[in-house]
Amino acid sequence: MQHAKPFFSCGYMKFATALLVTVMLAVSACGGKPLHTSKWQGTADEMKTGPGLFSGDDGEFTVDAE
Amino acid sequence: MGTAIVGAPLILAAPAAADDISDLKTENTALKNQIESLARDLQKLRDAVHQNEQAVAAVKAESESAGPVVTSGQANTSLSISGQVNRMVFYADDGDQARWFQADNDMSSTRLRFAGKTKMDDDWSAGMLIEAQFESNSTTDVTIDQNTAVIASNSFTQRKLEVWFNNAKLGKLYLGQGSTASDGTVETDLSGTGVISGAGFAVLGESLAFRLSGTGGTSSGVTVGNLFDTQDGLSRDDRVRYDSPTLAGVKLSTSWVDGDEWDVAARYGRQFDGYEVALAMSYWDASPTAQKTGMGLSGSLKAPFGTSLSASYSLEDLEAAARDDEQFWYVKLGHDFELTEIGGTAVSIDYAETENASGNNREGTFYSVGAVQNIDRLGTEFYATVGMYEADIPAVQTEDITIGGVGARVKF
Repeated sequence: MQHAKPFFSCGYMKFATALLVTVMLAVSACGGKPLHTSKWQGTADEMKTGPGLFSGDDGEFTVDAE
Repeated sequence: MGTAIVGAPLILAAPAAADDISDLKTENTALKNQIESLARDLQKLRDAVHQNEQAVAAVKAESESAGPVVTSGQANTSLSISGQVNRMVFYADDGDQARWFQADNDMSSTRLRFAGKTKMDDDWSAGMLIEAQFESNSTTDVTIDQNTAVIASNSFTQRKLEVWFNNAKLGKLYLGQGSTASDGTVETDLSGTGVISGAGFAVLGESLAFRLSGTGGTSSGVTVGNLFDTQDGLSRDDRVRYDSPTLAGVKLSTSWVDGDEWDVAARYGRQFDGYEVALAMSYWDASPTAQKTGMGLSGSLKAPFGTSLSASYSLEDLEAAARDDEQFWYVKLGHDFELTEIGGTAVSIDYAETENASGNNREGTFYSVGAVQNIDRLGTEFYATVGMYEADIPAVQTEDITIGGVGARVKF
């Protein structure tokens, strides 16, 4: 089946890259509050944070040493 | 005389009565002593019962506290065990055949995790992580023609086998098998539908082949995985990785990977008056092993009313002669809201394009809709999706592949 040519082009993406870097640098200087690390430091296939069916609120069984 | 006769028994009986009274007194004294002794014994029993009740309460209180089940010679040490099961009923129609599969959703596979950590002082801590996945009939491996669960996917596969050392001011160092610095930098997503929808969508039917149109099902030799590759950096591998401390929401990372590959990455996460912003970008050099270099970037913005917009782009420059750069674009619009009290609901629609994947002038298009319902008390997400893969391969025409399914991810 023939399909239409892709909408995106390399030129736009190079510009978007430069824009993203600029935005990152600019936004990082604008304060704000920390965002939970699980939302931006992990990978998309990580286990979801939060409670588990058996493990309760922590979402994990923890053995603490004395 | 009569008086004497009458009085004689009385006189004779007097000493006998006195003896009886004495006996009664003696007996009474003995009974009193016995009662007092029994009373003392009863009090002792009451005291013993009270002590036992206190001991039971103490044991119960101790068992309900966070006391250790096992002991360690190391203080401030913990071992955490966690995991999840993620199964779905997966549907695929390649234009020639359609089929339902009982599959493991490889968007976030079934797995088990052991994480240990110890705090050495206020600044230093160390730990280890063992994470392995158990997949039976993974969505990555299913093919239309299979008759049984694919043996290769019934596996115990490594994900992370690493140790780490962390200093609050200097950063974190990882050694072992795990995420490289660039892993995940093309997958930033705040939509809440990541369990079934995301830039890594090609794991849903990755081994399905595009069929040539009008040939009764002849394979084109091109699979979903050939045409749709997120190009998400160096993924997971054996490496040394360093992460900087987070400063103003920015974290820098780099890794040196087995085979002399390397990468660098920058991540940003912050919230402003309820608006959540997450950004990531990376560069990787896989020249020694795969003869290519690449770059990727992604971003996601979520408003306080639940609407989110996510976008990704990646490019790989192949060293092979006459091979054009492979490119990947992805965009998703999502919205999450509280439909019921049992947990949040999230929906999304996404779209992707690829160019020159596994061959010059090959193009791929993908789009899907997805929905997720959380059940917080059960640590469970129910989800559903419908999507379509389209291929544009030079000199051939192929049938589109439709996919869909429903499933659940349970975190235990």
